[in-house]
Amino acid sequence: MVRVDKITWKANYFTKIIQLLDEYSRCFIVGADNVGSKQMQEIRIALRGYAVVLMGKNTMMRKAIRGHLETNPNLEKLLPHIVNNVGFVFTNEDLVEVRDKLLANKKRAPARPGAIAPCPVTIPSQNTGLGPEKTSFFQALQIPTKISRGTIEIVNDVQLMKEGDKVGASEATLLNMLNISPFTYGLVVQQVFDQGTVFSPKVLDITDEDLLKSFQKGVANVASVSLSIGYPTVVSVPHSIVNGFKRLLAVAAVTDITFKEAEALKEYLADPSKFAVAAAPVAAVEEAPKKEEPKEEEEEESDEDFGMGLFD
Amino acid sequence: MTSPTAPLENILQNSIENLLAAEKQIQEKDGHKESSDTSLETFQKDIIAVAKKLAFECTKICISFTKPPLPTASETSSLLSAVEGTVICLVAVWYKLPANSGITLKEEVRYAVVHAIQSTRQLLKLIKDEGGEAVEFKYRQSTGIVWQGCNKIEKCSENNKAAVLKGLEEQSKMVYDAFTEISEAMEGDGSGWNSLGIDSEDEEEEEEEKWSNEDKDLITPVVNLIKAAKILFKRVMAAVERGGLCETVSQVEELDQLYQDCNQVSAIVDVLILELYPPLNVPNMQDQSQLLVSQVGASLKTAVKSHVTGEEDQPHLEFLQKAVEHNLNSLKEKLSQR
Repeated sequence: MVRVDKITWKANYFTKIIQLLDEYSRCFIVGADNVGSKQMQEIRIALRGYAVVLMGKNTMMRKAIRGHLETNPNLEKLLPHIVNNVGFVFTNEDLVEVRDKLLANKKRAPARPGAIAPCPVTIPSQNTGLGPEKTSFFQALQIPTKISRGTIEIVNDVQLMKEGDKVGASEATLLNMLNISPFTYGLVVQQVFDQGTVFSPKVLDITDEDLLKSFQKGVANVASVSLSIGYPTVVSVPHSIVNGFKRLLAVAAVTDITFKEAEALKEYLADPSKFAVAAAPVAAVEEAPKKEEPKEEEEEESDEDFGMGLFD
Repeated sequence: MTSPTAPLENILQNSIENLLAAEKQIQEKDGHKESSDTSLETFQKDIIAVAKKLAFECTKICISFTKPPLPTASETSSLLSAVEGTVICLVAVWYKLPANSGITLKEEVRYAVVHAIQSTRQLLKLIKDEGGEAVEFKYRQSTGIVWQGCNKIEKCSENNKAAVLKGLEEQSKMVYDAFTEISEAMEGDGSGWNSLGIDSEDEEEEEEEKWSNEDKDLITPVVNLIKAAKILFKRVMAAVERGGLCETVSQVEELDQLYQDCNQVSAIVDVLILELYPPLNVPNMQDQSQLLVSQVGASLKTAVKSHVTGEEDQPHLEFLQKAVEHNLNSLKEKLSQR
């Protein structure tokens, strides 16, 4: 009998998730890498009244959603996104407002060995206040230093890591010694679900410029089509006029016919040397050939043993 | 408060209803011609062009309604008829997708097309319901969703093989994730699996359930079954990538069948893992394990029978079949000794 109760108890967890899916019309799928339980608690408090954070096992989340597909089939497209270290933030409030609250709750954190740098890390030139016995730490990372008044001084700004680099033990130790916490971690919005649609969070930051850019691209397409089929439209007429004008100039260039706008062209053709000063001397700037980044070999998936251990 | 777009309400509502009808038609009716004279390449070229046009028309709508003055009724009608015309075009092109191009591809395209129309409809609904400049950021967001919807159409797979691979990749990631989850749990005693991390006031204080050593011993072959499911995807995906073809109807159908069989594995694995968490539910674990073995077996059988696997795949697939049988027998043996 006890077992039956326990099974019911297990099932009750799905009811809780389904209640959230019913209660809220929109949610974020958030990445929770490097977010500790204390920070998570702070995020929950900051979101109280606005949103609910749910961090369950992925298998449980997927099962709950599959069980709810009959009521809300749109949820199916969320399933492939419920992998790795993710959670849900459910809300009925404005998505940008909730996202901004998540951003405001990012925390500085020390660099841990093995972590992937989410941003480049530069150590500014400074007197570190560390004694000369610590020089080896700087040497290990080939950071140029000098001893100034008995302490180590970093001569120039040094880029220690690029975005995406793995933090090594030496880098982590040095950054901790210098008391630099270079990274900020928090819940990162990966996908948005709103009224049955799953979309990327980039949509939340679309600006007027993006709209105009998209519009201009469309207008350019319409103009191209109009020009190539010879069907004038408002957007193609300026191009047609300019093209006609170019032809007039071409005719003027090879005949004695002239008109006001063609005079400068004719003058130039008659004596190009008169215009030589107009062309500013081009500085001989030769771009240093870019160093080819050594191609990193793709890391093989280390855990894939294709069957080893299946007969344990 | 009356919305500034209230005078345009009827025109907008009419368009919304028309778009909803188009959406339903695509969702509910198939009607693709068996011998469509459109090739898959032409279909793709056409649908991409229409998707671009839809994104452009929605951008026009958004720009027109974001800044004052609001368009007049006749301007609105003209903008909306361009949107409706593009959606009708989209529906027409959708029905030109050759019927024998594959179920998996068809479903992918169907979802993308419905999604694009749905997001267009939502943009119009937003303008109708809320109106005015105060919500211009909402217009931008809604237009962005349309762009993503149209972009999804542009990025649809080029043939059934690519669609099947895309689907298998998604399923594989979920099975891989589930295997990682249970493997990590097996390093401990299984407690805490039920934490939802909701505010503590909502969570009831429960006595923590844990696995006994006997439980963990019993679970081991089941975890191996899940590992076999994970490897199944690697093998099948490699085989499809290498040998998958869409030149004949039977090849297309074989790919669909393979996807349909593999597609069910992730759901079974998730349910099985939840039966494993403490308190271990032995009868359900046994049933789900049996179900997983059958599904993996069915997928292997389909793979072997299909054109995608060659001689070099046979030993790997046979090995997997033996592995699942071995682990199921091992589970039965352990249960009989309990």
